[in-house]
This record gives sequence, structure tokens and C-alpha cells, in this order.
Amino acid sequence: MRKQSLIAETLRKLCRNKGAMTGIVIIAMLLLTAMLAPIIAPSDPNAIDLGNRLLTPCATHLFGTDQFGRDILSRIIYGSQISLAVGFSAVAVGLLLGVLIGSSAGYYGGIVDHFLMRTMDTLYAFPAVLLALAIMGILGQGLLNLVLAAAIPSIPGFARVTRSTVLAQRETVYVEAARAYGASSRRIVWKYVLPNSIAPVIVMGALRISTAILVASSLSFLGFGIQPPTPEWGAMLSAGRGFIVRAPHLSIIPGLFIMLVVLGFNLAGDGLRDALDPRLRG
Amino acid sequence: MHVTPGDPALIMLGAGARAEDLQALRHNLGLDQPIYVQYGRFLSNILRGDLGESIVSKRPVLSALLQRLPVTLVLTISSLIIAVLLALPLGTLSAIRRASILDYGSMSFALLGVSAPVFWVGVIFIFIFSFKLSWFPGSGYASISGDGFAAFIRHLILPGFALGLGMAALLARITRSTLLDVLGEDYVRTARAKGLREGLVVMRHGLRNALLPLVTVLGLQFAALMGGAVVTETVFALPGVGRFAVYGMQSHDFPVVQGVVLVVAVVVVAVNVLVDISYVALDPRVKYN
Repeated sequence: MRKQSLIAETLRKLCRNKGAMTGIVIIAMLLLTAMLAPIIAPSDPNAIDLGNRLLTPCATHLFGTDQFGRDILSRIIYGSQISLAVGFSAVAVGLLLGVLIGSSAGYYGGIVDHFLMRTMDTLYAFPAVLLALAIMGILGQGLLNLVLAAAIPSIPGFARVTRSTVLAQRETVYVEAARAYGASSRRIVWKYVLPNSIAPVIVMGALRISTAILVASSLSFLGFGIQPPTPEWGAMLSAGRGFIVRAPHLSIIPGLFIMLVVLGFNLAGDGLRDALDPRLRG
Repeated sequence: MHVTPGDPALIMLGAGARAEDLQALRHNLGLDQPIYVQYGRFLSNILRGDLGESIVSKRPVLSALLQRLPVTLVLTISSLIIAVLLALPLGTLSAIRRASILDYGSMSFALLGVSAPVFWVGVIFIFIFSFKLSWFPGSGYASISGDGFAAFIRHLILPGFALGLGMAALLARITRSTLLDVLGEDYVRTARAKGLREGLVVMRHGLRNALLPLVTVLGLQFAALMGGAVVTETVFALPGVGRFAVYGMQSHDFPVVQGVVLVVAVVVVAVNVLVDISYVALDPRVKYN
């Protein structure tokens, strides 16, 4: 009952927040675009047409064509699948590992806490893009490795937030009661501590999706993420740089879409933060 | 890096190398030893200030890094200055003219600035200010000693603004929200009640107290700025450590990548120590023993 009212209250607050609603609409439209890509894309994103190279936006090619005559609109539509998939999966992986590490550190304390959190502090000192770049170097290229490379820099943030909320939960009366009736540590963490600590983690997850998308597209821009001919916005922008004077739309359009998806998640994340946990307001 | 396709020994000797030469080189470089042995040796070398040799250029990594680090530091510090110079007036004006067109305008700029990828901003800047208007060079670096101060600044403006814009947007949002909190405090009301001019109230009582969270965020975001520098240096062809890391990745020169990651982490930690020390100057209540 309480859980239901919390969700209803959060939804009500989100609906009243214009920024959050704008963000949610942007995300919903991009999700729809990604899901319906094979139906709505005007052509095959990899179909080469050398007779129609570097066309500026026109009636037949709404976003123009690239250096191989490929339709940019189709490539943008298919590219949304990759950006969203990488963003969501990277945050899911980062959140899972971060929550596992943070809850272990917070619940067990002592040397476990010390070891885990000092490792997280060390990770914090590395810039996300550079760390992701080094991880791609270790793991090699590919979609799965790109997800991991975008996920790992987010782990310390999730671990810290989870640890701090678990520390507060550990001292509550109901956890003490569970301990008194002999519940195991695992049961206490999963059944009582984590469900009550999850709100700030979800807020952080929503805000981290945009960072994960930016990191992944930066890697592709540098040439270490998704490889051509797969349509990925960062890689498309990078390839378009060579034609910036003759066909600036090759770089401008993919960048606009990266900004749009990041803006959507930032707005929705800010709204969710205000609705779930106003104390986190920056 | 050890499991990526591409063998450093093969890169050094070329595709036509004989198997025994490759094996001998791997042995000389220590690449045939277990990873933990290689890692242990790497750690002990770091403690002696030895970051190893570049596999490709055969030069010590540390000296190559120290040669490039000033470029990265100049870029990050100038973008930081640009960010603060843009963010403080924007955030302050937004806070004191709350819910005005100015507030909405600057906060919309802030939201877009936070969301725009630095490499896109860089490419757009090159297109507009270098190719179209020919105001600034779109790539390369000029040193003060070799090319003069004017050339140094001209080469720095576009990358500095490209990297600083995102930070400016973030700082403007934080300046606005902390200043709004501070301006609601009792001591601000007292300052107004005793007849102090509004400008003085905002500058002396408002902004001074809003600086502490701002400096904290600045320290925390410095790592992101260094990460952004990796991309910015690539866009503007600046010979800094970020571009060196990208080059190291492309040529499977793993001592170079390890060295860059390590040196950047040291810079980030050092900046955060400086931020901690600056609290004493900014807030008289903070004292370190």
C-alpha cells in the first residue's frame, strides 16, 4: 500500500514538472524511433549510393547524404538504437555492481568497507573518458566492451550513494529487529536494507544515463567505440569532420541528436530527483 | 590492452618479422611474463619515477609526458577561467532576477551547455570561427616562447571555450541555486535591513558564501574536465597528454596509455588537495591542524 502511494506521489510530482515532462517526451520519442527503426527508416542505413554523395538536406533525403551517399536520416534513426541501448545497459551494469559493492561496504563495515571504498576512491581519480579509453584498450572493441567501458566509471558513484544510505538503514529499529530474530545478513540486506535505500540510487541511475551516452559517443568519436559502417552518432560526427566545409550537416546533425538524447535524460533525471529525493538537489 | 588484437612486438618489427625475433623482443620487453609479474614490476618502477619506455618511439614515457603536460594544463586551466568568468555573472544575474526572461535564457543556455558533447561544440566552433569567419586558427598549438603571446592566445581561444562551455553551464546552475539559498538567509535580510546597497549585499554576503559549494564542485568536476581535454585535444590537434593517450591506443603503445592515465590521476588528486586547502581562505570557520 505504502509502495503504491509512493509511486503515485512520484508520478504526480513528475507530471507537474514541465522540464521532467519535456525530458520524458524526448526519451519516449527516441525510444519509439529506435523500436520502429526498420519501419520508419526511409532506406537501408548502410546502402551506398555514390551518385548521390554529400547531398544537402532535400525532399528525398531530409537530412542529406554522407560521403558514401548513405541516407543520414536512416543512419540517425538506426543510431538511436545504439545510443539508447548503450546508455541503458551501461547504467544497469554500473548500478548493479555499484549497489553490490556499496551495500557490502555499508553493511559489513570494517576492513571490507575500507578496502572496497578505497578502491572506489581510486577509480574516482580517473576521468571517465580516459578510464573508458583504457578499458577499451584492455577489452578490445565491440558493443559489449563499449557498454562495460561506459559502465565502469559510474560504479564508484553508485557504490558511494548506496553505502551512505545503507549505513543509515543499518541502524534502524526494523533492521535491529530482523537481526534479533536471527535473519541472515544476506536476507537483511536484500529484504530490508536495499529496498529502503533504492530511491537515491534510482535518481542517480537516471542522471547517469546521459553521462554513459556521452562517454560511449566520445569513444566512438575517437575511433575506439562502435566501428563503421554501423551507424553510431559519435562515429558519424567524427567521419563528417573531414567534410566540414563542403557538408557541415554531416557533423551538425549527429551532434544535435546526441545533445537531444542527453538533454532528455538530464531533464527527466532532474525531475525524478526533485520528485523522489529533493535533498539531492545540486 | 594485453588481450587486444595487435601485438606490440609485431608492430615494432613489422609484418615480415621472423618468429624467433618476435619472441626475443617479447622477452626483452618482458611481455612473455605473467600479467601479475609485469604489474609488480610496473608498480616498483613507478615508485622510482620510471614509467617505462614507449614501445614505438623508444623514448622514456615520463619525459614525453612532461613535455606534453603543460599543453593539457594550459588548456584545462584556461577553460576553467573561461567557465568561471561566464558562470558567475550568469548564475548571479539568474538568482537576483529570478523568473525573469534573463533567468530563463541563462538557465536554458546552462541546460543545453551541460548536454552538448564537447567534441561537437569543438567541431561547430571550428566551422564557424575558423572556416567561415577566419577569426581564430582551428587547430594546432602556439607556445609563448616560440610564437609569441598573441599567437598563443589565438590558438587557445576556441579549444578553451569548447572545453569550458559545459563546465560554465554546470557552474552557472550551481551558482544560481546556492545563491538563491544564501539570499534567503537571515544575515542577508539583516544586511538589507541596515540599508546596505543590493550590489554589496549580493557580492559581500551572497556570493562570498556561495563560493564554497562552487569550489567543491570545481574540484569534483576537474576529472571530467581532464577527460574532456582528451577529446578537445584530438578535435583541435593539440599536442597534449590526451592526444598522446589516443595515439598510444592506436599504436598499442601500452606504456604510453598507462603513463597518461597515471599522470592525469595524480593531477586530479593534486587539484582536489588544493581545493581542500582553499576552503581555509574562503571560509574562516574551516581550520586544518
